Order: sequence, then C-alpha cells, then structure tokens
Amino acid sequence: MRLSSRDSSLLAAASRRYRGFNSSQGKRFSIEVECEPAQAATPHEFVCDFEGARVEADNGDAHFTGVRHEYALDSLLRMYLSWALLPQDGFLLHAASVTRNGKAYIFVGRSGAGKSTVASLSPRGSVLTDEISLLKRIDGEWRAFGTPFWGEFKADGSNTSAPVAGIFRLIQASENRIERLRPAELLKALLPCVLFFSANVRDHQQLLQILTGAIRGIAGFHLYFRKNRSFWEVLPS
Amino acid sequence: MNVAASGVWQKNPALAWREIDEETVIISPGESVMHELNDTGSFVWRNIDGQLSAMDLAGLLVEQYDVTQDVALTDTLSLLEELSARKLLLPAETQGGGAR
Repeated sequence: MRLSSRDSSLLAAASRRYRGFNSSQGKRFSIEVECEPAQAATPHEFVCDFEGARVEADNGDAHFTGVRHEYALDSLLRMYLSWALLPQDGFLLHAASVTRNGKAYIFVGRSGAGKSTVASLSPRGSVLTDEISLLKRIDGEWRAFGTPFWGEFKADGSNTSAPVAGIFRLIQASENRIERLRPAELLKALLPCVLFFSANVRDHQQLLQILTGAIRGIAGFHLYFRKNRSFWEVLPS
Repeated sequence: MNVAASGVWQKNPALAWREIDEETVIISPGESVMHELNDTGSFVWRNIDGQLSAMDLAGLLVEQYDVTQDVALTDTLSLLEELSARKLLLPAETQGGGAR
C-alpha cells in the first residue's frame, strides 16, 4: 500500500508501523489520509465510519478523513482492505497465521479463543500475524499473507506469504485432536470471524462467492488443543 | 402473524446467500447477522421466486420428500412465517395484492 498525508507526524508514525508493507511498485492500494473530517457525504463505492473518521473508496484508491491518531488509521485500513481485497479474491479473517515447513496454518477464533496463545507458542519469525489474517487465491492456490494487524496494537509482521495448509477453529480442551469440517461447517465457522464492513449486498454476494472458493480449496478442522506446543503433533503436515 | 396457504413471497433483495451442500447460509448485511437453513429449508428457499404460493411450495416438498400434503403445508407455512419474521422474505406484489 502507499500512504500519503499532510500530517507529517501521523505519516511518520504510520511509516514506522507499516514499514514492512509500504510499496512503491507492483499492485498497490493508494490511500490519502487527512485529519480533517469529511466535508460532505458524496456517493462512493465504499464508505465506512469509525469514531468520527471515515473511509471513502472507489476502485483502488481511498480517502481517509477525520484521522487524528494511529488507532483510527489502523481501523480504517482494516475496513478498507476488507473491501479492497474483493477483486483480488481475498479476505481478512480474525485468525493467527503461523508458517511451518513452508506452509501456513490458520488458527481462527474470536477474542479469547487462543490465537495469541498459539502465536506465542510458535517460533519468532514463523508468525505471519497473531490477530488478523489475509487469505488470497493466486493462480488457483490459497495463500496466507503477513499483515501489520496484530493483537494489542503491536507493530509487527512482514510482507511474506505461504500456501495454506489448513484452517483450524480453535477450541481449548484437555487433549489435542482435530475433527475435519465439511465445507458448509467450515463456512459457518468462518463467517463470524470474517472482517467485512460493506453495507452493499453485492459486496456480500461477492464475499460469499470468495469464501465458497476458500472452503472448497482449503481443508478445515476443529482443533481441540492444550495450551502448549504439543498441539502441533496432531496437525496435518 | 399467520401466513396464508395462498400467500406468495419473494426473497428480500437486501440479502446475500449461498447454498453449500444442501445447506443455505443467508447474510443480512445491514444487521451483520447470519441465518442458516437445513436441506428442506434450503429446498423451499431455492424455490421461493415471487410466483409460487405457499401451497405450491408445499406441493414441491411432497414431490421431493416422502411427506403428506398436510405435513408439507404445515411445515412450509411454519418456515415461511419464521423467515418472514426475520425479514428474510417479503410479500410478493401480485394481482391478488400481497402474500396474506
């Protein structure tokens, strides 16, 4: 993504936070950020508000207004990306992503499910994100990408990716085991954890189409796990 | 709310839905709510087209599943009432003037 702003302090802070994801080449999201609120409501393909800040987007470009601090910027980025990924066959998911032997394991769950625990039990450098995962299909292959969106507003992550080994819905238990999910079950497990903010029904239809591709192309499991590293033993290689 | 056997319904156009392995997932974007239908619910949902009445839909259920007309109609009316209460269905505009 490429961020631009007249607010030099905000831009400097954003440059530090998203340093691994700024790009001057290739496909990119161009985002203009202002601290002043939006002047008037005008029609856009995507509009979303967050605590006085607003994202307005058309095609690949976005305009953020009312952004007074990093937290608002980070929230608007998540909102915007959830929409901007649609044409790229991608989506954002409340999930930790960890790489192992060249593949990405996606651990999905809402707050308290154990995403941060799983990430903390994994070697540093193997965690693509401990909070918000980005999944995208490229040339027929589902890949998980690192994101700058981490729990507790940590600044971390790198712009790397790996093919997805599976999606694992976290359930804390006294033993480690997995249960294979049927595609419909996986979709129902994913939907509450998908980040999506559009109010447009066509966008939701497109999201469902993308998710249908994901549940057909990615194996899904319930992962009953103990809070130590032993859960890796029951995961498929 | 009582749903009439002669009533005609249409899917709420403000919804997104997808049928997967004979189950249907319906999303209401404005409310961020997910609804689920089982196989028979999905069958009825699939056939709701703004033209067929509840009686017609029950007839399709009789053809598809091993149930009597009475049971099919009772189940269909119950499902339509629930879907209507959740605002997943709207009365279709018909010459008769509506769904009820």
